Amino acid sequence: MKFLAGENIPELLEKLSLLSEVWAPRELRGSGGTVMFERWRSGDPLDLEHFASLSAKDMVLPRTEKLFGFSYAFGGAAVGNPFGAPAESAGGIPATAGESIRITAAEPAGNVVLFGARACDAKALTVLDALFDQTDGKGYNDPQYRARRAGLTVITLACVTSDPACFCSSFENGTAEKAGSDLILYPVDGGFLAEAVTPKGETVIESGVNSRNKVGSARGPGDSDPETGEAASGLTLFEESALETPVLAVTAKVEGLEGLRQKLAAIFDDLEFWQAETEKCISCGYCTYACPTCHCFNIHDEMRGDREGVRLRSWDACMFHLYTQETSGHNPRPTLAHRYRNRINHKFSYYPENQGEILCTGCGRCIRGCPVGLDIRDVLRQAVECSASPGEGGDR
Amino acid sequence: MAELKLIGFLCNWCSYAGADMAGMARMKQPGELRIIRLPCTGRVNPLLILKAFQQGADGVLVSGCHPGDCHYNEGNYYARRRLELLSRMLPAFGIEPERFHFTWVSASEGARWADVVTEFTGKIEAMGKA
Amino acid sequence: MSDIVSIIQRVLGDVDLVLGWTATGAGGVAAPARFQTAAEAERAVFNATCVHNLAVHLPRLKDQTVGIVAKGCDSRSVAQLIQEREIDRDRVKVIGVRGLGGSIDVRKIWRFHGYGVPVDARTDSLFIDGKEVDRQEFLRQKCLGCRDMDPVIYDELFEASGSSITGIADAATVETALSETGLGTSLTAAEAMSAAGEDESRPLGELFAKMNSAERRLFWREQYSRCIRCYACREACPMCFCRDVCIMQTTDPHWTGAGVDAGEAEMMQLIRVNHLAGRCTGCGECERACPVGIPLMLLMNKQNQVIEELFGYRAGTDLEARPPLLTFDIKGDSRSEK
Repeated sequence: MKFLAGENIPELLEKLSLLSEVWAPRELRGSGGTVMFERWRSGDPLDLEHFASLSAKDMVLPRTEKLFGFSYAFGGAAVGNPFGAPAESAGGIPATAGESIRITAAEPAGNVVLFGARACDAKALTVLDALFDQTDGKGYNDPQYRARRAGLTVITLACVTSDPACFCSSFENGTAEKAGSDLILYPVDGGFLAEAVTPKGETVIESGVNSRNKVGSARGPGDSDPETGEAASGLTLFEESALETPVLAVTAKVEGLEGLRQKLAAIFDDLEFWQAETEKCISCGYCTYACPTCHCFNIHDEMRGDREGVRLRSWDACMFHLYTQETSGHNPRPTLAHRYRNRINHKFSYYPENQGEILCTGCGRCIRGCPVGLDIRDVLRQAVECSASPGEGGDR
Repeated sequence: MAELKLIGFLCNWCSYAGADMAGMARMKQPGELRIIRLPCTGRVNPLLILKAFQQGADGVLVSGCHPGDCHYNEGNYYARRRLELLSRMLPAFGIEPERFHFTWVSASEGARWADVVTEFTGKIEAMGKA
Repeated sequence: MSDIVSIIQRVLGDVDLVLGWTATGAGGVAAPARFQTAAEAERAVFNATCVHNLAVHLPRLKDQTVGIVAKGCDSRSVAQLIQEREIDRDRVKVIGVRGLGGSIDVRKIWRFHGYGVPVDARTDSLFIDGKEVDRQEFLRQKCLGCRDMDPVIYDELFEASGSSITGIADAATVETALSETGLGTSLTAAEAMSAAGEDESRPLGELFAKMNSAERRLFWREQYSRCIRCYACREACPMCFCRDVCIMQTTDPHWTGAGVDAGEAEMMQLIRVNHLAGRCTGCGECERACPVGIPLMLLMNKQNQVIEELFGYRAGTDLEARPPLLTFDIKGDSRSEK
């Protein structure tokens, strides 16, 4: 494996930022110690110790994004199709007589290198891929998501420590999970061992090996460079190393997740159970927004005046009353208990049933940041216990 | 310099009529202020003013009936409290308090209206764009 | 002196449920709980990590009679809810906590000692990972300026017999905006912050007080850019009981757009400040609940201070008082005539 000295990280990020945006965790000023993935620019500090308050899903499913802009135009000609359909098929959409709607595509997302994600963040990207990027042709392809995902390189920091909110070991590979990462950095004395998981990850290592002028050139980092004379003179951030990879952290394990689907089904109608579990919940959306796998969104047309506007896609959360509010006024999930029941069931029952994967990677953000100290693991444990003794549902 | 965006919230019964009078009398006054007519300063939700600033207004003027003269008897008394609080809060929001002005102009005070607008516009002009 | 468990058990004789705390919240600190039976109430605790303002649950429990454990600050929220006729005085039994000596900023502990570190936060001493530390250092910022050590209203009294808070500022010096949120250690490109402050370890409120309007605007833009619109600030607020019909989320009227950015977040907070004028009791739950650490109390404290100066009014301290913006004084307000 290759070794990257800790002190060389800023130089590596510097090189990477010539070709891509670089995002990395940083403690934000005036925020009471909040750490978030932020756009990294030369000289910015890093916080690789604390866990970021929000997951990396912002990189592929931003909290808000413009899908396209639109305006009404009198006597306008053709309408552009933001999704890249052939020009000849993009006919004008009639509004009223003599009007047409002009559509302008959003600017394409640039390449991003995400530095300092954790295994749980990276794994979650593959969970989202299964939903937004169904390239096998059976389902849904989200053009915005795919563009961002294709341009994203994930450099993961392997976890040698964890905190009591972590519970990734409840799922398959835990801290050793490699899915979703392009390059994994294992902390060792004085730096990191780098393991490229994908060709994108190898590109990162190559961009560290090659010379400074090389990275800035128009050539791809993998191409050979006629001026390598200078590169060979020692600008090598990644050195060969015989060091062993460190022992990774083992996090808390929630038992009984197997067959949880049936257990949840058994207590679905036990509203008393769900009321008891949510008695302290205040129905904010932090748990869903911090979650690396929650992916619900809402689409709004935001008008400026009455002749132009933008179509926005923004995060939405099932913990909000308005999430299922119908136009008639009826709300099929009228109380917190109904909404939380849906949150748990979607993660651990419906979604696994439909997509074959649990919507949770055990990152623990919903636990650490909950304003009222609600622990999703307690709810799961209670669900397992409760369903094991049918008939005693609400009486715990 | 780009044109200033000044918003005026005027009550229908006094200040709007006062402004109308100034216009009818062809009194000279600057033209940057865009007037929005409301039934009463009691209708001026402070959020209207904050939203105006947030959307890029360079100055906001509120004018209504003199205390004691409110068409609805007490609307401007409520407004007086709300807007005093607002003007004290503006610095905390990061808005220069001088960009907001709250005053009284009656229907017969066309000349006073012209003075108020001239002075307010001049002040914001001197401050520049927000 | 009665312990909290037996007080709750006694109150349960009169009400359907009691709002209190158990010790079993995430991260090993207290979390809110509801007790309906004497057996359930055995799990009740009271310690200095009982930071939550439980009054937030009262409007949702209007069809029940409710007991509530309330610190001095929380009791003001209960009083304000009664004052606004949101809840009925006869249907709520307040277990007031007296002499707490301030509660603990758990996030500050987690920030410096790691999430979930064992904390024993008594009302007069603080142990982190078994070692006693200076309790004062980890008190919530708002507690340092406490003016509500005694509950405003109560039916039962729980004596917490805590340590006294040293360095409590008197009312006059609890001036410009105190905020829980301290400064981070890292530097960003915030011109506003560097313009205003030389010492980063000082409370944010002090730096904020020194900024001019332009610096504050930059400051807020940077702060609001973190907002994810989770509405935790609103949901944690006992006075934000409109909740599901809040104008922050409606499209008609369209006060805020649907996007998530600094501009929309700013409008959201302007709405909150405005709607809480003369109603905010300064409990600090909005700022505590904010998962991205936006120092919202800078605005709320400032407004509460201005309202006290202008109208001599503190929300939730007098059940009979008329909120200052729902009335006027023909002569007394003339100072503001321009």
